[in-house]
Amino acid sequence: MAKYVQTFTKGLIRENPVLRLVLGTCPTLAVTTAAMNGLGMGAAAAFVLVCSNIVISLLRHVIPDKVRLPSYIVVIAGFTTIVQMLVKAYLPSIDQALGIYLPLIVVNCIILGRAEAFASKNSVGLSALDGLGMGAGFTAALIVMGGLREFLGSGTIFGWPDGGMIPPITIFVLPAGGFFIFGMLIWLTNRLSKKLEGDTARKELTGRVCAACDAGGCPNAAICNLAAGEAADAEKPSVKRRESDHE
Amino acid sequence: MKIKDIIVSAAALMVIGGAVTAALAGTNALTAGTIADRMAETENAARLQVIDADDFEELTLDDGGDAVIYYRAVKDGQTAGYVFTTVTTGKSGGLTVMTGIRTDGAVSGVAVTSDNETAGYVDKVRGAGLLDAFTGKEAAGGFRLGETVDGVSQATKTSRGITEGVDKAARLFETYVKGGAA
Repeated sequence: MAKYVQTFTKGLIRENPVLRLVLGTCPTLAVTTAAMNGLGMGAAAAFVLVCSNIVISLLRHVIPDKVRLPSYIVVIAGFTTIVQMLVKAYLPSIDQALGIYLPLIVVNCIILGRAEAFASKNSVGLSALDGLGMGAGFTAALIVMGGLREFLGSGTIFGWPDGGMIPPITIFVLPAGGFFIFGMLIWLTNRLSKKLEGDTARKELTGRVCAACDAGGCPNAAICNLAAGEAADAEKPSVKRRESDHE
Repeated sequence: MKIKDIIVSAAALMVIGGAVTAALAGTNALTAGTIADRMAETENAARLQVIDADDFEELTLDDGGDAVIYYRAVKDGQTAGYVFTTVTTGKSGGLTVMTGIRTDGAVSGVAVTSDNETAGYVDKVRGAGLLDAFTGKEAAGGFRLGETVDGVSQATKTSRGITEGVDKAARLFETYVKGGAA
């Protein structure tokens, strides 16, 4: 049971896809000029993430290893297009706000990353929870970031009130302000994570700094571990991957 | 790679591709009608921002070899005016300006329907009242920034782009609709 709870909660702060793993930065910076856009983007990506995680987990013993990436991409692209059609039909204002970033969910590295690192190795239930947790973490990060940028840059919260409650500081809805808020939020999440799990102690124990390492499948794991003096681990990352399949 | 592997991989990809295609076809059948309705609604709503009308009729004219689509606004069975959509360049290209011109030659409204300007700039121009400044002015003289209308400081390029769009619409109206060349 604890495993299920943990699979869900890790995406919220400790392994928050945007603020801790720094994945999916492009839509994060681009659409968060308003809280509503962050919510729309987050919800759309979370839907695709949960659906593709479920389907990929279901098919994990069927998809041949050599064509697994094209298969994942086709599944993800399918769900993304479905979301795009639904949003266009029923939420046109969100569609207009998200523009090109909605179809670009296909190449959002959070989704392919979770497919490869988690769903292809875990049961359907766990994969769905992982997708939900990661999606919730992504959405929460986008809402907080969009909310801050909207409040400071336009003076409103979720478009309310009409005239704005403070004089707008336009730079916060411009790219530069986006990077600034993004940096501040990463700093805050890092502090929060350290508080939650005592990162310093763990670093001394294992030499690992990044939460993605334990989640497995991080493309930088080999380099990271090498730097941490775990050369043996880094030599055969592919062998390690195979083993985890049989767990 | 053995031939068997190739066949199995190809077959798996084909099956997945086929299943996804079927799912997409289903969703499309479900949503295509709604999307088309929404688009027409949005376009009509955008045109209603610049001129009051019951209905719009699509017309085309030939502007020196370029086909221009414009709309005739119908109110109570009478022609109330025309709506022109022009694309100009502000700070970036693709600044799309919709201009309504009444039959008597006065501008009835101006709206920016899509743009690639820096975020917040079009809002700034709109907030400063540049779009409303055109309303009621005669199309006959054309529009020039700093003469017929004042630009918005810090957004001069955007203001100029919008003014050029309205000016182009006024020229199209004067030459083809009022001039009868269409």
